[in-house]
Amino acid sequence: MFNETLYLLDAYAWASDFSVLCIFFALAVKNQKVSSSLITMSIIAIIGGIMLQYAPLLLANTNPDYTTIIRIAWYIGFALMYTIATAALFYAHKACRVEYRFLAKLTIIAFFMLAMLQLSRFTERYFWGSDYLQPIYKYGVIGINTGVTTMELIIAVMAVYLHFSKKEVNREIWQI
Amino acid sequence: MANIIEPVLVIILEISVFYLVTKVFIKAMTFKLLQHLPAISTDGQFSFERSHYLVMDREKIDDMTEHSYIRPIDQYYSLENWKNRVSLYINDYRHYLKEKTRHSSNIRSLH
Repeated sequence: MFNETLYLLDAYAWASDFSVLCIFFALAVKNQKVSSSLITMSIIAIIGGIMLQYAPLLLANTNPDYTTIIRIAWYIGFALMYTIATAALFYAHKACRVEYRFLAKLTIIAFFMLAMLQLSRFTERYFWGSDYLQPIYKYGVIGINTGVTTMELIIAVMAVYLHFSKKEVNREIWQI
Repeated sequence: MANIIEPVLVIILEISVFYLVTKVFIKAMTFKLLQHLPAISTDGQFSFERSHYLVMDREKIDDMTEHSYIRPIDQYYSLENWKNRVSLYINDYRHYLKEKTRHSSNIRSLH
């Protein structure tokens, strides 16, 4: 039941990620500029889509003989995915010669925290077989994902507002 | 035997993943556009972002890098290249002296 709710939450988060990506893409086409937010949202949407397909694949396998392999594939796999996403963010910014903005920094920190959560939970489950970190893992993952998605939505709304507003604003301070 | 090998392999795997995660995070967080400044083409093709470095003209950047006012950061802080660093500082100082002399001679000629 909880897993289904989590999956639904992830699916809604991915849908909002994709809509924010569309907003930034439209703004980039309009301004003829590749922004840091557009790069970040593209990577978040791609990695989120892969994770949405990957999680049910592992959950479907309930064979007790493969418990260890599935745990490794789950925790280490997700940690590696976050790492690959962080590296992709770095190299994409470097290739496009774009500086980080607020969303990129937030995403890198969030991905690092998520990867650390995955690794610590795996260590606890595999070596000690205890469940002390379970609530931290469960609500930490939900909290970080929800927080990042909320910030993305706020920044997308701000970007649209600034695009249509006639006032002269310092975009460096707004960090969009 | 298999009972011993499995946790050891898992520990090695986990430590390597932990190292990778931390390294990529540190590398990503310490990224500065300034490091890659000499490679920037400023003929309008790459002026994506509103960075004031990107709106400089090519000649100005060439001039600045030639006189080593802007250098790659890792070269600047590298302990291995200390000789290189000293020679760069000497070049800088020579350039400064030359500019200063020229400036003062200009002022004298005005008088």
